[in-house]
Amino acid sequence: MNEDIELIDALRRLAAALPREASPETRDRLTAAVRARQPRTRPVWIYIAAAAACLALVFALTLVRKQPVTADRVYLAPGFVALPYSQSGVPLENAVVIRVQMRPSELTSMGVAVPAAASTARFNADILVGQDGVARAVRLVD
Amino acid sequence: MTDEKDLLKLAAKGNEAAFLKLYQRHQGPVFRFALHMSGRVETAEEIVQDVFLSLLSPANGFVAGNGSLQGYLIGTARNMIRGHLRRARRFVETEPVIAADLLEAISKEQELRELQAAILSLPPNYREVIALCDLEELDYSQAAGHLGCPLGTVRSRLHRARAILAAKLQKRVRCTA
Repeated sequence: MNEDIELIDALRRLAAALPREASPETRDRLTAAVRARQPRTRPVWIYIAAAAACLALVFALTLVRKQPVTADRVYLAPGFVALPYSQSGVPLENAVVIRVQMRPSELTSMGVAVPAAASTARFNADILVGQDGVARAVRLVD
Repeated sequence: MTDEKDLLKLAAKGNEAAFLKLYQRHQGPVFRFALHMSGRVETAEEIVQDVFLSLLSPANGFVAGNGSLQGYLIGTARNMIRGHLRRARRFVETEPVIAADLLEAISKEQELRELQAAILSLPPNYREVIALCDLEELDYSQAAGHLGCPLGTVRSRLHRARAILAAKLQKRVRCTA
């Protein structure tokens, strides 16, 4: 019994001799973690600026849509095949489409697929010519 | 405690004041329990940090109706310490290195060092009851709540733990004599 009391007494002295609380550094680290969870409140001007940017974007897109169709768009139209080694650095601004008659062999050399049966006939084709006079693309009409 | 439930909700949302209130209320018992179980201040600090970080997580398992927050925190610390002890394999061989300056400042320094070494050599089940009932001076029912076991189990483990401690200390005394 006495031994038990002595032991408990010693245990209490041991408890009293040891640190009672975690260090302030631990508290600070945890506080920083809590702070990081706070929802960030953005100033009102950010929302206004974002709305203005959206409006500007919508306006710009509307302008782009209203622009006349350019040669670039024609060039990209379905059916046209870009001619090899004819892509110049000059942008297509005033392109012209010229309808010509071409032999199957000429069309084939330009990369246009021609029906095999009509090996001797001539075909109508559209040639897209840039303002620099360079033929850029070809389209089989028939 | 509804107050604690509210504080916990606020803290999880990043309310610093609410968190600090909870922290100040509970960090001491969690720290001391971790210290008594691990024998190292650094480990105890680490456990306190992990316990409170897990409390902030929305996925924390605390249900207000199922017990006190302190019981939940001690339980979480207990699981973490067990994991830590398993990893460190520090059941018996650990030399207590804590608070050497404090221990040296008191008169029965050697006796307390030996006592601490004896506590750290106890199996975790026994060490827990010594930490809670003798070092933290909780009553049996509180300790049973924290450990999630019947009151009788706490009583019998404590009885056995004290007997082991007394035997270990006597053995040391005989060895040094």
